[in-house]
Amino acid sequence: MKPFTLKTFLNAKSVALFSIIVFILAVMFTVTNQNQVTADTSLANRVLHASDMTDLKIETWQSDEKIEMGDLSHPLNNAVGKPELLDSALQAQIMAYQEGYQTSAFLTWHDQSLGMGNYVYRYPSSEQAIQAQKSITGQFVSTDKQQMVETFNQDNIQGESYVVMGDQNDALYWFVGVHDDTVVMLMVDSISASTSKEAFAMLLDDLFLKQK
Amino acid sequence: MLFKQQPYLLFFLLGLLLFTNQVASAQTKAPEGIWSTVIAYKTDWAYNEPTFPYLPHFGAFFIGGWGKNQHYLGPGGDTATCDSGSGCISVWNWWGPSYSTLLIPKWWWGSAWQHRFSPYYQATVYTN
Repeated sequence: MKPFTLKTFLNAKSVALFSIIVFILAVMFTVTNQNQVTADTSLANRVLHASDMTDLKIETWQSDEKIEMGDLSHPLNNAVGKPELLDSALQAQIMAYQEGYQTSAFLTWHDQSLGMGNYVYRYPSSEQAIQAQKSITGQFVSTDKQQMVETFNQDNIQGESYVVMGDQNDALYWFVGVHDDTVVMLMVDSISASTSKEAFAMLLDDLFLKQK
Repeated sequence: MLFKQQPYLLFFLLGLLLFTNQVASAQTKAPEGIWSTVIAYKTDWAYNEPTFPYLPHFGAFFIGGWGKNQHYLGPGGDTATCDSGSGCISVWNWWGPSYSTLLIPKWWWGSAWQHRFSPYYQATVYTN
């Protein structure tokens, strides 16, 4: 019987086969990982980050992360499984997004605090993104307290802004738009209507610049 | 008679009995939890209402569940929260699958940074 030495070990065919399998797995893992990073990065490039805040002061930066499907802290997930609130077909169109990214923060403008949430959702096609945007904004009911403010039709992004006035001169602003295959949403909320309005306008300008 | 011939068999059977008893009790005994008074670990948006314009709701998040006996430890204490526009902190709602998030009225969270400072929120929660 041959003694088992390092040489016989290194020459063994099984070791060579094992090495090839490990190499293939490593390549597959690297490629998958790189695709993931690329996708995340490109979506992340379309939202506002702490570094984009030039006029508004940052109080706390709350989130800068991928949106998980079960996460209730962003707008779209909360109607899932509630057909009594939102028609199932509309819900399916909205929830057809493949990936999402969000940032949120508390900011200060003229010593007044405001909350900001920026959400982007990528759909399989630009047609589906447009459909999703229509399904979202189609739910809006205009009243004395809530209205559509403005329509935007720029080269790189189309959408509408909305305001919801509170009972105590507070205001919530939304932008819902489409850029290619992505639905882009911006929310600004504060207890001062003028703060919400001014901050929303500034943040929206910054957001449009990022939709290249 | 058998144990006289194989004295170790008795110890083996006793050990086996003890082991199975331990396993059975571990499987059937429900984990016991405790009520404890803790402070919130973060404040953040809790959820948005399900349809557009997705009204956002803000909250203080606790580790545990079934929150109760909530208090504000910041300036003015509980009494200060009575200016929230939605009653004092004692009547604010709990939210989430295990009621671990104390919802904070907009007028309150928006009016001062201290109102978004998580260590100022204390509650009694149930933890396993």
